[in-house]
Amino acid sequence: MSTPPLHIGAGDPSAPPAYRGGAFLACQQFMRNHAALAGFFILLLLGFAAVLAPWISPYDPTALKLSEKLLPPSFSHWMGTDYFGRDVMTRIVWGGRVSLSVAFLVVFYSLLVGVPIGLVSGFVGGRLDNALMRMMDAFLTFPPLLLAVAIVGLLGPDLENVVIALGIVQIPVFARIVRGSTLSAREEVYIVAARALGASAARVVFSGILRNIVSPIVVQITIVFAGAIIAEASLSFLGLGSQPPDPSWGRDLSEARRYMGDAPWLIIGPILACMLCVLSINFVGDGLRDSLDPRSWRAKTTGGSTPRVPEQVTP
Amino acid sequence: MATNESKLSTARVSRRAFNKGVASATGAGLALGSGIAPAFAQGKRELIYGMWGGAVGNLSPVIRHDNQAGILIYNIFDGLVRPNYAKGTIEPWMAEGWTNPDPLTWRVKIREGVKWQKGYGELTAADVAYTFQVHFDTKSWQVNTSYPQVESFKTDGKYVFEVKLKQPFGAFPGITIGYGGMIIPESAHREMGNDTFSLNPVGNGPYMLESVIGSEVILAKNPDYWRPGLPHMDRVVVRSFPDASVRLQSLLKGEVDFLTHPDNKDVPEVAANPDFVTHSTPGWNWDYQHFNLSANQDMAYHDKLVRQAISYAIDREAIKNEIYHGQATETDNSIPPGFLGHRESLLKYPKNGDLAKAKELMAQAGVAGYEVEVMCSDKDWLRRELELVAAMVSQIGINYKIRNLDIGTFNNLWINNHEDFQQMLEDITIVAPDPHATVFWFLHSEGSVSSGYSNSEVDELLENAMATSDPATRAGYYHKVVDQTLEDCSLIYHVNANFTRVHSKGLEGFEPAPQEYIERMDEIRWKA
Repeated sequence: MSTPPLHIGAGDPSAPPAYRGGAFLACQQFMRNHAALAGFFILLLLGFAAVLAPWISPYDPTALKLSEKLLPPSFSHWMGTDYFGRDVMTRIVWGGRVSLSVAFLVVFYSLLVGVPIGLVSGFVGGRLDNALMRMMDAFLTFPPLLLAVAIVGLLGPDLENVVIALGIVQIPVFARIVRGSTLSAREEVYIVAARALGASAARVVFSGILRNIVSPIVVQITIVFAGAIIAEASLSFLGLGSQPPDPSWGRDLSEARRYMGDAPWLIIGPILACMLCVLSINFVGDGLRDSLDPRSWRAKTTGGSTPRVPEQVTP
Repeated sequence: MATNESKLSTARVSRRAFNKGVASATGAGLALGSGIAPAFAQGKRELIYGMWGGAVGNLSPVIRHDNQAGILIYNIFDGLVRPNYAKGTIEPWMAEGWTNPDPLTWRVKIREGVKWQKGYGELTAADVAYTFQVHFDTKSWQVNTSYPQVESFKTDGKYVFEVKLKQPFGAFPGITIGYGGMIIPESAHREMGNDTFSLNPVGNGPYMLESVIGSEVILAKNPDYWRPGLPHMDRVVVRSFPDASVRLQSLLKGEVDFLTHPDNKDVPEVAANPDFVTHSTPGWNWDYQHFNLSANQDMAYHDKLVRQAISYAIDREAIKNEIYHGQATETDNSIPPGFLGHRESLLKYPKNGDLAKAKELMAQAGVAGYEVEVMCSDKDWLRRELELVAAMVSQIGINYKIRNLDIGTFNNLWINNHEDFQQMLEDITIVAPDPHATVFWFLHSEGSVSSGYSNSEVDELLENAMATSDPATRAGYYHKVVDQTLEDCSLIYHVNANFTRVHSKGLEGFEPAPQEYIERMDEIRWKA
């Protein structure tokens, strides 16, 4: 009796394809999206510049040097100087700190409140769902920027208040998305099975549902992040955000309007920075949306990769 | 059919007529395109006036109004007296004259034959008494600013109004019947009520309110105006533009004929434009730092040495040049040029500051540095000025944490809620043509906006100045008040900013006032 030959590895045509995790496939898909990749690297660059601003900026962003006011772009001032002789490039780099920090905190706080509301609402359902969603709907009826203006108007113009205002505005967005995904996920077989096997509600929600609705949340994070950057710039443009002399893309843009004819470089810098940042985030968001969607793996991958398997829930 | 009509129409136009038409159209196009008044301005009796700000609110002189409304009110109403800015005197207007038979009594003779607009009868002393009564009944701001010394008032016949004072008041004509002397018609006000009247004012001035649609106000000529031949315009269209650049572009493109408050950085360029006339007039105003001395007792600025150090750290010339682009005068005191008691604009503090002296004073005060929240309103030039000032005081270790507020919140904080702010930067337009207004309200311990400043010597000097009618004696008191306040620095003055107006060169007759409110349009006319 002869022993059948042992085939190991890819060389064996009859061997089953190697199992690749969802994260790996998502990354692979993301890497194939050139726009997303470019956006990711630009964002990374902006992030590094913002974090390292105190070390890499050649000038003080708030120090006035009237003898150098309104200088056009040159080797010593790549983007020129403003009406108080401050280096525009330096202010843009430091302004990035403000914009990115605000956006990060807005996402953090709105996630912190919005996701649990959505999870509870979608999982429990019934009257609680109704009550929570009507509350969220009430928030959503207000134009977000106007609501933020009203909140900042009440609390006073300040960056902390901008974070609070924008955070509040974005809570219903996350709550709605998470609730919708939860409603669909809770009917999945693996959830029904877990509940039948006696898994606790908290375990089902956090280990079962939440882990499996991460994709829409991640995509929404990028949308909210980009929106927060624009909203912060808008509020600062209106004088409700960052206070002078602190650099801010929105406020610097507002001040630059006055010099549009005399010193156009003042207006170009903040616009470019804001545009580049938001565009990069949107590209990354698009890339993530595609890469986190298993259907796109099947469509684009060759070699028969394993489709996404929901995370297992053990009782 | 259409073709036939077109042919017929063409056939009727002769070559000469066609050429004439083309020439006219080209001429008109050139005139419009040049940005100057159209060539057919001759006989034109409409003025389009570009004003700063947004929608116009209250237009009643018995309710506190903003500066924009002031421009309209001062063209709808003629007050009891008016200042002569060139001579520095108060002149009769609706009041033909006034006597002071004893120190506590003022008798004011009202001009006869002045009619209220829209058929509301004649202006009489009863209207004056009614207006005063409205101020007292509604507890308006005038009670504390213009009438604090008024004990009682009455009419004596149809044209005499008599005021009894609690104590002698040397500033009576300028303040009580000047700043507080805008009169409303009793019949119209009673008929409409206070709120309706504020939207449909009936005045005695050269223009009547025709309509208010959003940010556009139309004033029509008052056919019953008491000065023969005036006003020259049949209509004045007042358009508000919040943005100074848009306002200026509107003028340059011929969309408005006259504008106020251009951005100072644009003034040299527009002044060089031969199609326009620019008036930049030193203004009755100051911008200044105000310390809240009624609260925050732990703040270092309660020490006058620290305040002096701040004043020495200020480079007023830099403020004049960087913020006002030269359209201002450096000052360190409260009495601007043109006022009784004015000496020099800079009496103690150098225009470029003295940093060494400032540091020395900080050392004397034993203060190494501190952080303080300084608020300012959303006026963009003040925001920039505060940034500049913050950089100046940072050189002596003081960190100004800037807080920008909308004008409503800002005014509410510094006028009504003294506990809730530490320090501020503001600019003030002085409407009342008397130094009493520039100093008493801010420097007397009982002044409405003194914010806790109290110096018994200053109080006594101010009270003496108030009780004296002789201008020279009053000026002497005000000199001493100014000297004391230069020492105490409860307010630190930076500059007197100019008021700038630009109009088409086709206009004449505008008399610029050092006053933001008083931009009279009755004598403006298109050149023949």
